[in-house]
Amino acid sequence: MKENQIIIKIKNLVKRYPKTEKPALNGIDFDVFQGEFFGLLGPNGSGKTTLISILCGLLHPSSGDAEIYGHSIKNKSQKIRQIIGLVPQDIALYPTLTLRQNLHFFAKLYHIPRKVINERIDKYLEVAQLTDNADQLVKGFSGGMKRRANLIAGMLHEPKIIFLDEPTVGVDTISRYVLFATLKNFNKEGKTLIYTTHYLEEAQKLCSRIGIIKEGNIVTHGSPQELVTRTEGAKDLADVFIKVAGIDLRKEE
Amino acid sequence: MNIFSIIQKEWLLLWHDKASLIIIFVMPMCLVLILTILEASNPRDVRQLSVLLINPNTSILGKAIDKGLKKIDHLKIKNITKDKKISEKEARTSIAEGAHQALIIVSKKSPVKITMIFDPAIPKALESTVVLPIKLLVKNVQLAISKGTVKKISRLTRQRIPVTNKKVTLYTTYASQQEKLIKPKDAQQIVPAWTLFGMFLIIIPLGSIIIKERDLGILQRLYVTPSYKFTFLFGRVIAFGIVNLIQWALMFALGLYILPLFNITGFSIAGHLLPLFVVASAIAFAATGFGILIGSWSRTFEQATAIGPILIVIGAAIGGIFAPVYAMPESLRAIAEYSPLHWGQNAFLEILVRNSDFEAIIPDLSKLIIFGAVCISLALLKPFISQKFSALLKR
Repeated sequence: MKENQIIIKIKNLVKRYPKTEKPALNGIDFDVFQGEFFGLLGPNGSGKTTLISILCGLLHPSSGDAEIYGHSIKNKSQKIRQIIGLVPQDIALYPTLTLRQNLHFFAKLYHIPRKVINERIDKYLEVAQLTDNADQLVKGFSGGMKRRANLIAGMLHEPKIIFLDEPTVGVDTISRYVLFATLKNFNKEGKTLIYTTHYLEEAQKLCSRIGIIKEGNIVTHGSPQELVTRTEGAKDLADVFIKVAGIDLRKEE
Repeated sequence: MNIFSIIQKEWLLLWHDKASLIIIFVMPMCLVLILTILEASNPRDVRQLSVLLINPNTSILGKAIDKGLKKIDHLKIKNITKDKKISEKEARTSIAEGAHQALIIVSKKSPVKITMIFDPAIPKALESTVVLPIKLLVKNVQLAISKGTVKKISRLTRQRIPVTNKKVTLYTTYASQQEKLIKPKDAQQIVPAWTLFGMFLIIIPLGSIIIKERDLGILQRLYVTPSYKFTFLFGRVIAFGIVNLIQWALMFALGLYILPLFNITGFSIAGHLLPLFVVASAIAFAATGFGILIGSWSRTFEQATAIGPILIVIGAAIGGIFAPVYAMPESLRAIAEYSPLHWGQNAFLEILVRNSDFEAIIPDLSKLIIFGAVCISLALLKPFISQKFSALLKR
């Protein structure tokens, strides 16, 4: 697979929810390349989660299309599901099961061969530094532990693309460090990451390219450095965000 | 296979939820135990029993029985003696089918024999509400006739003659569509009724698991996996269906082995295991489908845990679990026909009490299966229906 190969192609994507005047996505067009760490930034309600939900096949677009590895989200969602992973905003794990039971269940749903399941689970438990807690019920975990567990449940099947919807909300410093390290390593292995966040510093550190979404449109995209250079008077990504989106995310943080 | 992982996951979730285990296993078993003991010793509140009467006896005794029966308030007597449309055989069949609760046949010639044929599905305690007034009536009639005759003879002969009763025999039996007659026992009727109620309680843990999955975002994660939505649904139906069958087995075992320890007339399933298993499976499918429907359509956990049990109690009340359907006012009897708990109870009673063959339970089985399938379909179509409904409201 070539480094600069387009793996996600979004074409004039529109999503309208019932009972709302403005569309949540208003004709989005952009591409994501193989091996990118793509950050999707935007204020609350800008359409980040809607876009990720459509790309993951959880929502249907009102019009437009997107292709993932050449498969249209409209009619090839089953094929797409085999190559993507999702780390949702919520801690999407069964609180009354142990972490190992949760991981085992999701591993089976992803058809991970029986022979390698335990080995794979142990590997990711170690990556998330949760080996000692594997047999504890998830409901007893701290916020940071839950976030780490939520992350590895989405990458256990080692997907080619992983969608991360604000995975670091409410995470302590240690857990944040572990999460960043895990994500960077995953990216180094050639995996593509689509990442939404409110934390601009985080995006600047991690992402190779950033798209800023406002009112359902990608208003600008490029590498963090490019965005800063391109924006007049901007010293960092926060300044870019104020100029482009008209919102100071530092205040929202 | 994914399906086994889903089943295993559902069981693990249930196993870790001790409150739900109590709701679906301990509570129903306590209900069966306590209510069987209570109901076996106290007749249920009965408004009116529908009784057919064939009385071709034209003697003073025969006529007096005719008149006396009409005066018993809680019996709705329909005299079919001269009704050419209903033969005695047809009348017996209608009792066996539960259309009426008893048939009283008075012999044409003396010595008078009164045969009372009961629907085996009515509780034993209710039989006595028919038998005892009739016994009393016969005694009174005999006494009145004897006294009148003695008085007349005494007046003529001017001698004191002792009063003697004319011999009347009372005979009680049960209507059956089969040659082999099962003598019904209280437990035979009460155990399946409350077992059924307990099986429907499965909707509480099932509904709450569905809502938790949705609220915690787990549903999103599940739907992003390459597994089909149908697999999750199928796995859930199997997992909870099996739990339902375990409930059924435990509660019937309680009827067989624990109730006799409390001197409650035994409960027997001899020779009926297979049809009972089929009925229990159909009930499990209906209950699981209903749970999935409640879980899918409830907006909050509180909504599901409040609406679900209330609907079951209403279904049980109109379905004849708390009080027999024939004891209900006419208007409610018509509604009872639409309660899945009524269909389940009817199917159990057909096998256990009326000794019917498999054909007799097909209508109730079909209704239960269709009900389960409709519930599951409505749950699956929820996003589509909600969307259409929102669009309509918007217009």
